[in-house]
Amino acid sequence: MDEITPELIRQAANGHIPSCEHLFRVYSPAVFSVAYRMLNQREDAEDVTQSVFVKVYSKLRDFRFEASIKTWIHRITINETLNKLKKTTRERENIDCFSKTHSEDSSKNNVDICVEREYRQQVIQGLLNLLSPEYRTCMILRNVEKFSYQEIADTTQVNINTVKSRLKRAREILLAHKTEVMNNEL
Amino acid sequence: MNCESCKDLLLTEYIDNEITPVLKDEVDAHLQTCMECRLFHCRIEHEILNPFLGADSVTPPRDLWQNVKASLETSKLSEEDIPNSVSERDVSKVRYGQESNLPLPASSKEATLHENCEVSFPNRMFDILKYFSWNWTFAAGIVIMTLLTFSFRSHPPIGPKISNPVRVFELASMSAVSPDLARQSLPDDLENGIAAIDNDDLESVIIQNSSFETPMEEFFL
Repeated sequence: MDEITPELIRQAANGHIPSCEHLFRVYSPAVFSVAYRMLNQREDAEDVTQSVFVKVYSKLRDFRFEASIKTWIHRITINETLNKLKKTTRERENIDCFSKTHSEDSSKNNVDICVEREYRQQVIQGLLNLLSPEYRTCMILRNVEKFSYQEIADTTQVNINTVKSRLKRAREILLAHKTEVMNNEL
Repeated sequence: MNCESCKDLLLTEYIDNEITPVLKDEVDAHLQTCMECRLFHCRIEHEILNPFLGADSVTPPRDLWQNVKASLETSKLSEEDIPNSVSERDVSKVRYGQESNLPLPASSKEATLHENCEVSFPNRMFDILKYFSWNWTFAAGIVIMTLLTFSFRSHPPIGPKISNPVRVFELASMSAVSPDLARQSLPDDLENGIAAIDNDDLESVIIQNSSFETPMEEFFL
């Protein structure tokens, strides 16, 4: 990831378009990825990414350099995504999609690489969609974006112990669900 | 280390490499001896960590920057419509809740809604005075109540000073039958109290208790 200097941030805050574009090129993949993992819809993730960057540029003047710009942008992303999630009513559809994916689990042995990758993405989405938004946020930031506990705490604005307990609970839910699926298959 | 605390660490710090070296050694030592925890660790790696290893970063569409840029330019144009007399910084300073801790009065809400509007100095002063007016009214009320209390204490209501009202009532009851008998029947230690009551007071008390006169007279006679 390219280094973002304070000078570049100041230029972007003053509306310098090339600096804004540089900021977008560096952080948009992570922002889009988090939004997509949370919402499971490309169109919604595009909307959120766009609104996140519009908000970032408008609030960049208030950025105090106390937190990292990465954490700050991700915090805006999480807030925008959760707002979007409240508006959409697609949670039920996502759960149905996961059940379908897991029912086909045993018939996925001989597939080519491209389909395998697509399948893996579906499995990840299926697992994430089992979780509540708070747990899902922690799991995405940790297991997909590889954030440290402290970075997750800063991004979600909760205590580091809360991050640990959310991750623990989320993983317990996933293990319990896997056990249930295996018992049903037997 | 017991199995419960080992499993807690396996679910969080251990698999996320956020564990301290000392705790890691403890967990490793426990895993060497405990088959159940070793299986639990394998299960976590297989069912939780491995699926996410294939989590490729999802790339945003190429034309997304063009949409963001268009939004950026639109918002920039709308910022340029702000009158030159008041810059955006000035407006944000006047906005309540950002640089002052005052609550939001109605006039300031209008200022927040219409970002381009100008908030003049007298309006601001009026809002501050309005905020303090409740406190001043309360303080003035307390001062007035205090003054009234002290004025009543220094000038009590005018009237006869009766030092022992209970004894006076007893005296009046007996006097209703026979004033001389009443005076004779009272103990010596109340002589000072009786002396404080002159005859006019005694008569007025007797008149007020005249309802006792007939039945008590009949009873004593």
